[in-house]
Amino acid sequence: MKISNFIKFQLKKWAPLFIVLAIYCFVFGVIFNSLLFIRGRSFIPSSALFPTMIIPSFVIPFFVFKEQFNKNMADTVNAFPANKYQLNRIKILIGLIFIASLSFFLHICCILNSPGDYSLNYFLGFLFSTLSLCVLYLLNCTLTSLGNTFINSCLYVSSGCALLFGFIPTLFVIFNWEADLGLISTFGGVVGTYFILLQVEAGSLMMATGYIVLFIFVYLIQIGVGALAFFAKQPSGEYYGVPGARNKYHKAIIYSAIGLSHIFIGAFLGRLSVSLSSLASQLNLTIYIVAFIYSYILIVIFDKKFKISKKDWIILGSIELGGLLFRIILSLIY
Amino acid sequence: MIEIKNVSKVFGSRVAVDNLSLNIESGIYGLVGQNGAGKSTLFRIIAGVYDIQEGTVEIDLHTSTTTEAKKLVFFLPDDPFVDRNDNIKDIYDYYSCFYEFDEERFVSLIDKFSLPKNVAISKFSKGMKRQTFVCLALSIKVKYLLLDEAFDGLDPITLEVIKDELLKAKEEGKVIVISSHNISSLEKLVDTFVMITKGKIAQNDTSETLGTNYVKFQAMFKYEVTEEALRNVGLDVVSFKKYGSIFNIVVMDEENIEEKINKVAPTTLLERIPIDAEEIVKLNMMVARKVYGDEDK
Repeated sequence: MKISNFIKFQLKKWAPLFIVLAIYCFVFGVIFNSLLFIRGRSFIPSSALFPTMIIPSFVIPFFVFKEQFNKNMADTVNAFPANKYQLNRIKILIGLIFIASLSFFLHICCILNSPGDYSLNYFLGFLFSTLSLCVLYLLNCTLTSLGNTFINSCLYVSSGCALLFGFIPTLFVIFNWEADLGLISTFGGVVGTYFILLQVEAGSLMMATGYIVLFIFVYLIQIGVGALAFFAKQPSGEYYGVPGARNKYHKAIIYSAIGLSHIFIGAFLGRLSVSLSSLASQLNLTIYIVAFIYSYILIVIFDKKFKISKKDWIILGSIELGGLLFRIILSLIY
Repeated sequence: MIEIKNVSKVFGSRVAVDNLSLNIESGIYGLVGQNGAGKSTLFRIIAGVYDIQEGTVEIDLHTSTTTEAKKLVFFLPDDPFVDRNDNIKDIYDYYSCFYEFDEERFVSLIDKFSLPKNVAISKFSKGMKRQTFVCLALSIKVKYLLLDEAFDGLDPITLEVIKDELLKAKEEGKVIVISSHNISSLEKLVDTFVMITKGKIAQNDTSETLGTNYVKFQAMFKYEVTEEALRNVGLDVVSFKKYGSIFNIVVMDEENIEEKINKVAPTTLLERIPIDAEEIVKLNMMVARKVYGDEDK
């Protein structure tokens, strides 16, 4: 395999995507923020660029693995004399380099656009935001690689992110009633990263040590799961473009996300009932019915068929029942 | 040599390839069979597109899913993927990342078919798209060519040119496996016919031995006869058709066939007539259906 030719070909193919993303980031990251920030501050901080630059980290993985979403591509890609990891790795790296370069050039643009006092904290912020974007991109690559269709990959990404970024807020809702809900929700990875980025730029990490430890814990898991992207191999040809999971364990991500959302709902309602007991009891049944319908729809979209399997019904029923049981236990405790 | 040993592939509850064994050594092979018989699945297994569930496929002693094996094979699927805006140069650039090309041959073939180089392939007709990919396959320097429904949508003139090119490739030492529904297009090209039914090899004939197990008669009887009556005298009837007062009967070859037919009813005309390749393959399919059942169709 001629790797340099393959890279050239991929760059040629991806050029329109990269141009669109670069223009989007430049417009919303640099120009838009220039108008907003320049009046009150001497420069555009990384934390202002970061929310805009999250989009490429979610979009590019779908282009890296887009071949998996097309049935006909299996015959072409899987027959190529390249090992099952090589092509994916090259494409992942191209995306990674693009994201890091985009972050670098946008920061340069910011510096050129707003010649203020750039302290060490600014560059630390740049490094941290670039690293976080790369980690987020790799995490999304790992999750996207699990899907055989665009929709399946979307569900894996949303479920995976919900799981990873939602379990600590859920733990807070269950165990720490005193904590501020707004603050808790920031410890979910992307939002948490933004929060830490603000602290880095301010030159002090003002949060409680416990929060930092939790953030580092989530961040390390992100890095670990993201690193798995480099071990994403091309699936056997029959799975390309076919709805459903190619590995029975992959679907556990969807079930776990549903389960976590039920635990969150249970804990949240439990918490609500402490302060607003009458409203919470009215909401209980409605929310559980809605949650069950939403879980069913999720599985229907995933498998692309209305008639879901007996196993799915049993798992969904168990999750629903577990959530309800959890809610009852919590209400007994509090 | 491509050595396929006891290979099976199951999709859900459907067995696509069932404990199939085959050796592909040299020359041109014609893979024939009904729709859904397992031809394309077999191609994909050989090309390493599908992981093998049971059995082994070795290409010049390399396992089919390894890079070393894939370097020896080019697989042209029945509907190759092409990006919306890709033209001939783009697909050449893409494939040349992975395969060694005979660029001169590719250009000359493209010119021979007068294919436009700067127009998106997605705008080509089905036949033109097919021609483009056959040109690509013929220009790639690999030992084994797997062509799935290679002649689908080609006009007779183009078909003849491509057949000549395939024969040239054979002379150069390439081993070619072609599947086609158009059996007559494989005539005078294929050295070995391999018939697949329900994921199994039903028949494996060289062009010399193809159809030698059948005898076709043209007959006129003095009075009406039925297929049942012919069976009753011990004939293994494969096909029994009546056109006016003429009967076309195909039976499995055995001794004293004429004598047995005359036992059923005296004939005014009874002569052996040749069977063409297409009819032989059809007969093979009919026999295979009888042997392996027909519940899927």
